[in-house]
Amino acid sequence: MKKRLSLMLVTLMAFGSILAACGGGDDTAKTDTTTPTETATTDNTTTEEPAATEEEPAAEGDAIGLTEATDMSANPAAATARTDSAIIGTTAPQGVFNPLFHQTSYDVAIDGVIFPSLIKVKGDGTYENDMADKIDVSEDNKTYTFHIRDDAKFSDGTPVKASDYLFTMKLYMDSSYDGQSDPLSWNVVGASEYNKGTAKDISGIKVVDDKTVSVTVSDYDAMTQVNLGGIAPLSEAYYGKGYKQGDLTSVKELNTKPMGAGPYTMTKYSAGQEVDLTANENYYDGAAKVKNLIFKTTTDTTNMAMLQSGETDLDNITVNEDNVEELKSMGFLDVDVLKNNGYGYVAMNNKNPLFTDVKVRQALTYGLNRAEVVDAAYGPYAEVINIPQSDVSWAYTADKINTYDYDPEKAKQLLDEAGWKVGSDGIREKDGKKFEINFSATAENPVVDALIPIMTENYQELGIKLVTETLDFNAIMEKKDKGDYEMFFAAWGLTPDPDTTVYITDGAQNNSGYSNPDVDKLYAEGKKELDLNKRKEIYAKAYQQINADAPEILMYQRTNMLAINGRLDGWDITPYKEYYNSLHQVEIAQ
Amino acid sequence: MEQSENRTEQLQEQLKIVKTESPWKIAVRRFTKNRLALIGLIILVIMFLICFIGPYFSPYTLNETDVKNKNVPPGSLHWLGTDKLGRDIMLRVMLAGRISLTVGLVATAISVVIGATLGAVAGFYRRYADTIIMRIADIFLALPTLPILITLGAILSDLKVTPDKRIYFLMLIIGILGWVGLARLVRSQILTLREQEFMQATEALGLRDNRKIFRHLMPNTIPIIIVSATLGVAGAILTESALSFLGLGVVPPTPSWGNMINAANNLIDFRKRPWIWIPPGMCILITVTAINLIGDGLRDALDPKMKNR
Amino acid sequence: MSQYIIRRLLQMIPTLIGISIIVFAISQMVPGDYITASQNPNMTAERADQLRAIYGLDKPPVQQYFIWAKNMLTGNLGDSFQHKMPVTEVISTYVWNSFAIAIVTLILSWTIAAFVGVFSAQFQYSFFDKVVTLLVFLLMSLPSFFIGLLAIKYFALDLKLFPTGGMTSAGLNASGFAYIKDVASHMILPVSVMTVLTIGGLTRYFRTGMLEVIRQDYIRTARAKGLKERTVIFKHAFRNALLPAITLLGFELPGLFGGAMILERVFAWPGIGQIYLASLNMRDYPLMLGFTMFLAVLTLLGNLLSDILYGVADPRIRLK
Repeated sequence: MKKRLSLMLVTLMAFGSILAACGGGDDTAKTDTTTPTETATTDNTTTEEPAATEEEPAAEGDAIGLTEATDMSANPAAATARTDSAIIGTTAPQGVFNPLFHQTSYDVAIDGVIFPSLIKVKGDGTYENDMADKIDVSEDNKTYTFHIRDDAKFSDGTPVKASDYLFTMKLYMDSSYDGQSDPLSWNVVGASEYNKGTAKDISGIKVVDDKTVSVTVSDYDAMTQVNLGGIAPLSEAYYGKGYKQGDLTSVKELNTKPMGAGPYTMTKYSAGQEVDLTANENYYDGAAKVKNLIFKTTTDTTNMAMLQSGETDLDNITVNEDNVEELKSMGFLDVDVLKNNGYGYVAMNNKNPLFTDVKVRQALTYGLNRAEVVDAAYGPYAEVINIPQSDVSWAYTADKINTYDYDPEKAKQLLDEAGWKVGSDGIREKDGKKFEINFSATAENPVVDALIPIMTENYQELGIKLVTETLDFNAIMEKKDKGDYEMFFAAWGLTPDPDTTVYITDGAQNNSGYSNPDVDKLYAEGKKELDLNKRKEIYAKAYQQINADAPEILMYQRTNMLAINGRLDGWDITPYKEYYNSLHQVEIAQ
Repeated sequence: MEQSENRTEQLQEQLKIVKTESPWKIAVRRFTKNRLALIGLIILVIMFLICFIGPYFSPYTLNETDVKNKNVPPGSLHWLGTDKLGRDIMLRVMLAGRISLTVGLVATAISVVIGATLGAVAGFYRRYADTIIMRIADIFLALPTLPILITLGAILSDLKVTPDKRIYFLMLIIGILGWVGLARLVRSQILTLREQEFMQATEALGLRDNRKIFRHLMPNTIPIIIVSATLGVAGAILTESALSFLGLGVVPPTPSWGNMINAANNLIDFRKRPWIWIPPGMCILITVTAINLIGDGLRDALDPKMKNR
Repeated sequence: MSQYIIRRLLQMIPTLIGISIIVFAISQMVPGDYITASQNPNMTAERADQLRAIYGLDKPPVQQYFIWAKNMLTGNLGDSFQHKMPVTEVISTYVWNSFAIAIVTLILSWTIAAFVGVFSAQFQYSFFDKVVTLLVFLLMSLPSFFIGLLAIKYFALDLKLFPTGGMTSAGLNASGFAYIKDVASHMILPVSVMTVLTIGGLTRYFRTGMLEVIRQDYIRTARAKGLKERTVIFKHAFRNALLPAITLLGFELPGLFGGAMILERVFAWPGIGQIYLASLNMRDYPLMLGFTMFLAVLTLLGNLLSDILYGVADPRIRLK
């Protein structure tokens, strides 16, 4: 018996990797850089649409885009009976309902309707004002003055004040703060003194009047305004009761009882089951039209079934041909297939002698039939990419980019040029060393399932032996940190801003050990430049250089899918603007 | 107790067996006479033959993907259809059988040997041996399996153990994971058995301990061992695929019955493409049934309480 | 007997210390920690160091062990990194949901398995026995998530008899009996599937035990005395056939609180199994270690319990 029990315990690992994918790395904190997401099969990050304005029907034969419901009469009674409420299907949130501390994208979604920030992301990945109606930036770009809207009130009716912003910043700068943000990197004047406990206040933050606060930074870059404006002010009266500098325990205790200024307020939280919210009458953009909102826990085994039975109105569904077809055939669902902000890649250890030669790296890219891998894994719902940026980003460029189409002959030629000659056993050799690559990947992933056999076969043709293994994700990451690897497969998530440390020398997220002084310089310039058009040019140059250097084999940009019951209208969803960002304007059409 | 009435008879029986033919010889004779058990053995042998020889007759190869022909239902070209990468399922089931049959049987054998021996020793000697073995068992049961496996996977990867050698570690790990339950079952049986009259007879005859344990006590625990082993084989076959995710077992594209079944992990595959999961599922079922038939035969053959017919 | 129990309880102390050392050592060896596992986009090396200092992960392992062990003795298992609340609170939030299905499953599966096992033993090689045997093997040959999916497909989607998943209906504001009724209707499918999965093995053990006993001479004697078959089976045979199964009963104790990771996931049941799994994947050590120790204590108690039960059920066994 026990044996069977422990064996079952082990069987779960299958699911383990998937869970990890959802749990880890899906933070959508409104800051820059790229998020490494475990190459998830079911990572439920939210869905998107090409940066068009409203919901635009997809063109004939185009797999990506919105397909509107065709037959609302098929809508199950369970759904139509809900005249004043909507049910959102979600993976279980962790119960950390506080923008300072939340970590999973599911908690983030719920906080998204409770805690508005001073600014919000727009459909195209740039930002606009939200709770602040005016932001003044000083000549030297070092002082930012935020004017909070007069009508901004917390759900208990008290006004949002400049002092609440200051209070929230103190929590961020507290020495016991262990959330996902890195507040000291915002360079706010006086922050580290507060953090160390040598000051009782943050000298760089001035409360000008009830609704005006100014923040001074010691150094600025393109992300400064986003970092400072991305703060959702917490009520000092509510959260500040037991707070003492250096101890956030009393604040964390309120994690399951959030109170914000957003369109909804939480009425009930049952861990692992559901979160109930009701419209906040005091919301400054007008009370939400759907009175009651329920986030109900679903899993990828049942989420489609629950949409079908009308138990939920919206859910993220893993994109594959089967699922899309199934959802579309139901008739009463709007199916939105949108580009994912992220990309999958095969990392090569650029510091390993095997891969130091750019010709070898290019050969390995030419010699892998990426199109076949992507087609096998996702069908029409993913595309091969050649630069590490989403093609819906403002920073995207296709100009002077080599597409590395599958070309084994070219690959062989490059390998010959690099000095790797075919040996007697068909395996290439150089200086007496066989060309053998150890490749690690996480299991239970549609891409890896397709990638391993195709890659093994492709590289065998080039005269390269690929030794593959499947490993726990963290184990792969540890190999990466130690630099003790040759190749692995992983994926990155992308945030709206193109600034990242993935390709800069010794960057925090630089997994491949890639180093090119030109690229370093371009990224530094891009981060410091505030003019969007100039930044575009800078990043285009950086991408062209990376494309030529082939530090890793870029694989694909996949899609996400959001299925929404056709009775809900008024969404404004793009790759950057999540579904919960427009929930307050959604209406129930009967 | 009712049993005391038969005390003399039982004693006589025990003594007779000890004196005349060895019980193992009797067992072989009895087993070959058991028709169902033979059928089970034949099925298992056929399974092995198909899995190890069959692939040589297949027109397809393991790494051959053909995305244009994915998810083809069974037909004349692909007798059992193709999977989501267009690979021939028949070939994969046969290749998978090599892994799964070996892993299932070897891993179970390991856990049965360890579990039965330690259980018997603990139950027979009691006191210190019992305390030590059972406390080790306690610790084994209490340890979290998953983190240990993740660590082992990472270690094998760091040591650059080639994937084809990891299969041996896999069998060892599954075997070691499984011994505790059986050890406790065997121990408790032995605790009861050692108080029975026939053991007093062995005492009176002055038999050595290992003879007492292996000749006289263990045969009585065979039924429970067989149940445990039958359950274990199926469990081991399914566990293999889970361990493989952690770098402890086979690596894709190498198929195993476990990872083939796991490939059908949603309702749509389940409904639309039964040829993906039915073949490996059937193979496991047939294997388990065959092993159970053999097990039943073994039990009858080894049962010292059965009359010498 | 009481002396035996006291001695066993005392033995638990060194065993638990041993377990705590091994478990902690494993947590140190597992690749990655919470900071690397969260894969935070903003993580700089400096921030990672700050966080490790906040969590005490920068201290030498031996010191970390003693801090952890000392806190544990005072009942403080620390704060979960992921949930940002005390581990004991996280466990108590979810563990009872798991317990609810586990206890019902336990009662159902033992009752059914006992009867099925006895009947299929009594009518060995009959049609009934063969069907049961085949069914048991069929269930063993398929992974549990598969059987869960099957149940959802037929009973929830096609026949619409039960809800597809979760523990309560969304937006339900009932209490008292209505609440219990709602939860019960959600429990039926997961409990049935778990029961079906557990009775498989159990039935085999009961059947074997029963077969053994039926062949014993005293049963023959009882029959010869002209006792009714039912009396023979249930009065004389059944009790002895239960013996090997009792060993298994003790094992069930940690299982009652351990959660069922796969099926909880399939049925979106808010149990502790998935929470534990996530703690592992996120390297949330306080939660992972805390829950492991919680289960370890239950495992030891369960084993002791089964030994005691065994002694009670069979007076011939002298526990020393």
